[in-house]
Amino acid sequence: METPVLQTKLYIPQPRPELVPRPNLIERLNDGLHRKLTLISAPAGFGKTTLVSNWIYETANRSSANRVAWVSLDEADNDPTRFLTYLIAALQTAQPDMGKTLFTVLQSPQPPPIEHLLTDLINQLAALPGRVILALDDYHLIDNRAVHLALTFLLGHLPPRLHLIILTRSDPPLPLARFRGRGELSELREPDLRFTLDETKAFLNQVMGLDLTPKAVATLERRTEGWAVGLQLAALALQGRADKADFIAAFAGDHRYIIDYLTDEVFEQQPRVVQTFLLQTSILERLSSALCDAVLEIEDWKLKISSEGGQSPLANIQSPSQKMLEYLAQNNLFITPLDDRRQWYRYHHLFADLLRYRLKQTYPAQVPELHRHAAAWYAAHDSIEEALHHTLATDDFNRAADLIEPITSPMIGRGEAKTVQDWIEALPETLLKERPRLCITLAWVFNLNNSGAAIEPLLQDAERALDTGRYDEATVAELRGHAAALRGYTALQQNNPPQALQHMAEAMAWLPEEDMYLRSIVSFTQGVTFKRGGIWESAAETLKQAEAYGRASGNLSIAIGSCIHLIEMLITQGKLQQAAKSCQEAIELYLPFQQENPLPNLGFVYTKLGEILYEWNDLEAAGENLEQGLALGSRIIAAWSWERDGLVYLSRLRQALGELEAAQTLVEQALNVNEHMQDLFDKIDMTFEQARLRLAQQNLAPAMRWARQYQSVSEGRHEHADMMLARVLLAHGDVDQSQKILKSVGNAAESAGRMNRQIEALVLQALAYQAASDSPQALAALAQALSLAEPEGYVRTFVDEGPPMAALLTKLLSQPDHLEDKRSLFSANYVNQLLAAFPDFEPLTHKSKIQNPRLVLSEAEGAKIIEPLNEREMEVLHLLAAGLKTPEIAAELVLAPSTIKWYLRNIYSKLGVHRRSEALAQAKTLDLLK
Amino acid sequence: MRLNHTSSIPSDQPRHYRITIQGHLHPRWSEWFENLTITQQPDGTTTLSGLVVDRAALYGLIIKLRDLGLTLLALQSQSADRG
Repeated sequence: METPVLQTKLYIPQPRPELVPRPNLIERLNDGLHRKLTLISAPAGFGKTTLVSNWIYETANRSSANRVAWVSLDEADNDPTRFLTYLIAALQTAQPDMGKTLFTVLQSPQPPPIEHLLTDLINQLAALPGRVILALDDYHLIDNRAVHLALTFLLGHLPPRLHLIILTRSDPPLPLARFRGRGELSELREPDLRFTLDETKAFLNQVMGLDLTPKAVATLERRTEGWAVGLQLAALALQGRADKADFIAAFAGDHRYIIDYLTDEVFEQQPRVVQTFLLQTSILERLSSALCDAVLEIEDWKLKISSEGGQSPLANIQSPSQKMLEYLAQNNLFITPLDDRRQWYRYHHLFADLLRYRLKQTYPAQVPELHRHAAAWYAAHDSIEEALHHTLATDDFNRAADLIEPITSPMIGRGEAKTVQDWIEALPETLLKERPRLCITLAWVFNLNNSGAAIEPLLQDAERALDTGRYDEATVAELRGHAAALRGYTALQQNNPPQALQHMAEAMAWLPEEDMYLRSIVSFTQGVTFKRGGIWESAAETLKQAEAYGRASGNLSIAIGSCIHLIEMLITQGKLQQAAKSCQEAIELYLPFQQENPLPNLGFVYTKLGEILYEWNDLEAAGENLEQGLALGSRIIAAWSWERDGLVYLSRLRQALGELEAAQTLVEQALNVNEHMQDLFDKIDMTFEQARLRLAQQNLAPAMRWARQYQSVSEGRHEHADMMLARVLLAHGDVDQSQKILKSVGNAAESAGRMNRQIEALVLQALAYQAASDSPQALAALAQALSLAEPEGYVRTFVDEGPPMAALLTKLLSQPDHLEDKRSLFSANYVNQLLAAFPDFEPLTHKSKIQNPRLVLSEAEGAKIIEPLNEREMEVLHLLAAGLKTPEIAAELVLAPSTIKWYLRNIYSKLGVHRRSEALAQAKTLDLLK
Repeated sequence: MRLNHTSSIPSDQPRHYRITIQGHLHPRWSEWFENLTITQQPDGTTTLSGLVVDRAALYGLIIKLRDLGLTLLALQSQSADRG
């Protein structure tokens, strides 16, 4: 569902066969290639386009090292999405496989900031061999600030091999002075473009074959002041006259605005039928023979010719507009081809303006009629936008609304909200109120550009219209659903989640099942809102729906986004195994789609997997996945919390490997990403990660500075930062304060089911108690943490706490008597695994020395911990030894295979192994199989 | 002594302007230029004068001059009580 790209806008105008050579201007254009920007700034009719296109064909295109891209801009390119689309499309003519991902990302309802897209484009351009010349014609038609800013950004970061040429009638609002000052600008302006006397002579005598005296040439040059279009008109006027000298004298002595004077002359000289053609087709932006035939109602036209009785050579033309267009082209009557196939043409702008005005003044009644014909032809050929342009010119707003309604949804989906807004706002308010669908559409546009206040009145207008009973049930349901969804979004923007959820539920009730696209978006928003409120079940339910709807409607961005949120929830609840499984399933499911259409947020599934693997201390795999996540996801999409988190985890990884400098760089990158985040909920103060790093580097002073600053403000509090504060306080010796925070966080996490945080809090509490010399409490807290953590394989949460934690774990192994609390169920093997993961660890036990299979001995201390395999586990182990596979064991014990897998995991863990063969070997060593 | 009142008109209100361009422009162009009065002057220039609705309209007029390739020589605002 891509924006259709008009190839005629990308077409480099072909030079005319006979042109006056202008070598010094060509020289200046060549010279300009050494700089960043060439600006050709002069009013209409000075031959800008002719000069540049001629130069491209003669010089630039000749060298195979140069590639040229061209965009003929028009008013519609004031929509930033459209502007960028044409920019990329033009560059693709020079380099075919450029920017494909960009198209996908750009043409979405809320494309990322333009700088992100341009940065990616710039990087791609920088990688190209050879030079690329990008020419933008008619830049004066752009008055949209966002587009100017985009171009300024592009110019500020121009890769060395990209050269920009801007053709315009007025100096654009770009930092030209800056470029001039740095010698980065090459300019051709009015004085440069005026025809010199020599050039005038060459044009009039050689190109136009007029054979004028030097005096006549000089007179014309003086009167026209070297203005190209003036000279062209003068030449045309002279071509048709025998009394050239008289004409020139009269012309010279007259003060009349020369274009007016000469156009009148040239126009009067044309046969009637040509005049009619010119006037009537002047309303068209572009001309093709079929379109002209339709506008002129060619049947009538033919009749008119035969009734004129063949007084001019052209009266014999009975064929339609094609011959006419060719005649105009041959006679230099200000028509220029827009493609190689002589299918499309346009008039020179100045000429068209004059013709249009003349038409309006002489045959005003014809104008709406002509536009109607053009509109009908375009509509019949599926060019809705052009049909609309002509319809609006007739003030037939009802018809315009009819044309607009069906195409707005896909356009918004492609990021062309601005265009849609302009069209709807061109309609009278009274009409809009009668069109609920358009009200809703405009409301969506306002939702997308954050003009929340304007939404409610539109919704009320829509509802009033729907209440009149003029619309069928299906339409009413659909539009009421949209209205409810919009109210939901508005409520979110006003920071009122409960209200938002209510509206969203209403929306889901109204919206038809078939509207899967919107249903996917609404349920996704519901899910995220529930998640943020800690309402896990509803969140999971709605996110799963969102995924399903997303897949069904091809909205993979939502589908994957839903997966990621679901995975995050699992991690928050400490369900790491399930989360990892979900990551793998998502990758398996969505990776194949990546070939056709890049999926920017797939990368973050890898990030989540990386986070989990990091926790499990599988650092190599973790690093791979985190890097993959950043590679797939970053740069071209809006900075999301996941990109930041990916960088944070990579930083921790480097820290764990002792690479503190690398860790520092990554944290700085993460901070940078955080700065650009737009979703304020996720944008938390990241300086605590810096504080963590300083702590790791034993650099307490900056960490304390952060801590004091954080404590002094009441806003911007976040649990993650609170935990960091607790750490810093603990390191500083403020144990009581630290404990307060930890208990509070721990309790909140426990009651909310956020096991991930609960474990972290318990771990730190243990350290805090130990610091306060309260060993029993310390060990109790640690034991609780271990029992929660073991089934899910947590490692780094403990190991990242360093030597104090190692000491505490060792202590725990040696004092089993304190572990009477039934909640503390963990295995000694687990503790040993953790200890082995510390950097300077020396193993206390050696497998081969274990005598009693039910005991794990600490050689140094000779104490024992009992953590036997339970009855069921022994059963499974025996069946395993008998050579049965999991399904067979399951059948044998009348249990589900997943239960057997669960027992196996426990067995492995208790025996300190990873696989079946090892388990059996260990069992044999420990003499377990009697 | 008559005070010049032009400066006390708020900037979004209509004002009288007098624009002078090089060359003679036919009065039939009046409609093109938002119905300003077009007067050809003996010195080879033309004046366009009349009420301009607001700033946006003024800049629109200037762009129209640009697009026809006319040379702008002078732009003056006139007090309301002068035609």
